[in-house]
Amino acid sequence: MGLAAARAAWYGETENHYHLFLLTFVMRTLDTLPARARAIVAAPATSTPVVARLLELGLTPGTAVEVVRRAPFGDPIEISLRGTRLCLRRADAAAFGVVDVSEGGARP
Amino acid sequence: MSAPVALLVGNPNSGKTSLFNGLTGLSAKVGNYPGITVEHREGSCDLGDGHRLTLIDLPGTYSLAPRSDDEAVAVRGVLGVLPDAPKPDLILCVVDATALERNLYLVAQLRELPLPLVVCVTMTDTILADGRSVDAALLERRLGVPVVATPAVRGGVAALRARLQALLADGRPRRLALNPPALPGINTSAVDDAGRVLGDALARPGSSWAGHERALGLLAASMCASGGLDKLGLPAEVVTRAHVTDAGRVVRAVTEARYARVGEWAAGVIGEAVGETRSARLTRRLDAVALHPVLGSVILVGVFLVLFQALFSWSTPMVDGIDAAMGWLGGRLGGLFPESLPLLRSLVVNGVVAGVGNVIVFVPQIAVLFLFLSILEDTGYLARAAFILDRLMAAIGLHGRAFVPMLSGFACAVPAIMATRTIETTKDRIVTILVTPLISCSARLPVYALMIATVFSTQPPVFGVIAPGALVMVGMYSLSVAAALVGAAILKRTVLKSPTPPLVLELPPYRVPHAGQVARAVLSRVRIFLTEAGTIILAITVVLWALFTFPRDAELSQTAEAARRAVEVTTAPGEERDAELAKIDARTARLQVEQSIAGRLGHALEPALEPLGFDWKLGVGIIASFAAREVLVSTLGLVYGLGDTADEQSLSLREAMRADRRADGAPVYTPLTGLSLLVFFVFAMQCMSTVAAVKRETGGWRWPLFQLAAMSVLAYLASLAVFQVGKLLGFS
Repeated sequence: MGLAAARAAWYGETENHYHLFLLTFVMRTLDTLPARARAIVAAPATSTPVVARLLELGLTPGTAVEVVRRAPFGDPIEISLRGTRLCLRRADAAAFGVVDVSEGGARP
Repeated sequence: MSAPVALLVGNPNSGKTSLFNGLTGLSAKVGNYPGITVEHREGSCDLGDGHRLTLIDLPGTYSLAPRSDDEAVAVRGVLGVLPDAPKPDLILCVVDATALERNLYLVAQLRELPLPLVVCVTMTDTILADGRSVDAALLERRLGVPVVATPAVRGGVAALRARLQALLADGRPRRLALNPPALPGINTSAVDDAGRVLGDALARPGSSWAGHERALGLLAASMCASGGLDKLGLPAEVVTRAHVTDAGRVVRAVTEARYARVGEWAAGVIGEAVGETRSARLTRRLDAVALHPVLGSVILVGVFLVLFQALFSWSTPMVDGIDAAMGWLGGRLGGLFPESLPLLRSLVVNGVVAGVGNVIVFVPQIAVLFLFLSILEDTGYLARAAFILDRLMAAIGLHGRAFVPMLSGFACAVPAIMATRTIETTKDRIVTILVTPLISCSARLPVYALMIATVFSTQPPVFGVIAPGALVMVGMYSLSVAAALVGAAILKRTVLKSPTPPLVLELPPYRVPHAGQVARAVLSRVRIFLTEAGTIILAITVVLWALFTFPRDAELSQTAEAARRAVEVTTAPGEERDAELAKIDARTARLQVEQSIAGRLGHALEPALEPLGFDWKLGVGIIASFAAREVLVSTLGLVYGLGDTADEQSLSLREAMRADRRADGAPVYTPLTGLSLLVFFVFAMQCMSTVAAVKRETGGWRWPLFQLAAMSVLAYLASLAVFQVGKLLGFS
């Protein structure tokens, strides 16, 4: 599974079911990443208003993200993308698949 | 010729407000558009050579698809559909250089529309301090609209002024639109149809959106996907017809295409950072502490403890000073009136001066709260607090930002209600406004203290060690918190049904707050309170004065005068005579209250209050305490014939209350009556200033009256339950 399939799903070239299947069983999702993990986001599975807002804030497919930390109570999470920092709830992050995950890498 | 109008738009935290302040100086005023509670600020900018520009600062927004009412005002301003707003000659879009791509997304949306756009790149000082460069000319060539770079703070606006002046002298800036990005695999005819509907609805005399159907259709799709199409104030029929099916897919495609465009625009505009930049390092290090799993919570508690301490005690000297000053002023003004005009004198001293005092007594707490809030907001810490608290607040179904108002409610509901302004969604804001007065504020303390001292201090300790008064005090505070939380949960599921508010929050870089900007924010809040809530408070004070003053009993004052003269004849000047005279005055005041409208109302209410264990004296006290809860204490002093100086420490008032008997000879103030009264004051609204603040913040009488009615009914029923169940259980 790679970015190509995610992009294909994004443009609706594959069945949405296939996309959901990937997100559910194959692909990791943003909410499962531990602190300091880096990854590339893929297309979101749903189009809730929160997902639409996250896209507008730059969480588009192919964007590099880093999970900076989780809040003291475990939720929400803070991510860094395009030079900015956002926090979002894990339930919303679950809509985004991630690829090319590297966990706990050293800071540049 | 009137000055041309420019709208200031941009992302939140982009330095928009400091740019506005820099351009307009001290001329800015806060205003509301008719029917919209969201505020905007308007000011005049001197461009030199006598040319002026009217600048309107719209709320910050990340995109033209609004989520909150604040964002909707910004979008409506851009589209020219704000009621009573002038048509803009210029749209000045602020772009934060430190978050260039995300800020350019809004520019990408604006560029697809035929708007006279000028881009202003702010925060360039941060970039330059990191040893990086900003190439505004390159960005201008790529964007195709004028681009000016300014550092965010202090004096960096000269270049922008000159550029604006040149643009306006050169006729109006051109309204050029870029073609919206191509969207492979999307049914664009449906999008265009929606755009046509929206374009017809947005058209105003002299402006047409013809030829821009695709851009407007994409806007409609974005709004459908974010649930914001109905926020524009368009007719319901337009909202239905402009609906785009499968909007989610359209939005995903167009957002990615716009970000591709943004990537091309942004490439090479800001010099590459060598390693981690200074501001990024500062933010990372501070966050490592401020958002640390353990330390972060400790710091959060510490910050709010300081805020709380400031509200509770640091503002006390100022409040006492205002009280003393108003007392002095009342005395001086009273002395100016001749004895022959007692009514006018009373109106001025006890009505107007007292009313002005009732208004400005809130200023210290409002100023302190907004001073703290502005500093916390401008440094970026408030967003961190929301991040830490979200889990907790979401469990109640409340917005993370409801925490500060509810905490402030322990000090005073008036500044707390004004602080709900930071909550984005209207329904969550109203829920917070409605439940905040349930939290026990400091004005209830004198009432609690008096009742506990009167009826519970004589009771034996519980388990031999715990003072019953302490137990009752803790109980009342717990009851008030529980009432606020349960109330919020019920409101969220009934009259203000809405899902748990979403959380997508930017954590801005830490910044040093600008003193002038903080001072401006504080002053503007104080001014709004004085002018808008203040007039209501003053009016109600005068009405309450009239209730306690009329009808006037001529015989009563004659008798009092005769008695005074008799004392002056029989007793030599000295302490004894003063005491005798004070006694006569107190007795006169008691009789005057008893036969006033308020006293008669107290008597008339007695049948309704009897099941709660209250007599007519408490009825009068409850009427008077609508001015402010602590007034109950001084009013009880008045009706027990102790004059108007009694406070909760007053031993003679406690004695008088303990000695008071009902018709059947049983004492009025038993522990059960005390508990019933305490519960009544936990729930009852009993505060005209809160009503005035709610009216101001919700923009009408509907919510404050609902709140007043609901809390009064709740207080009555709770008190009734306490007294009747207590009686059944054999307590007295």
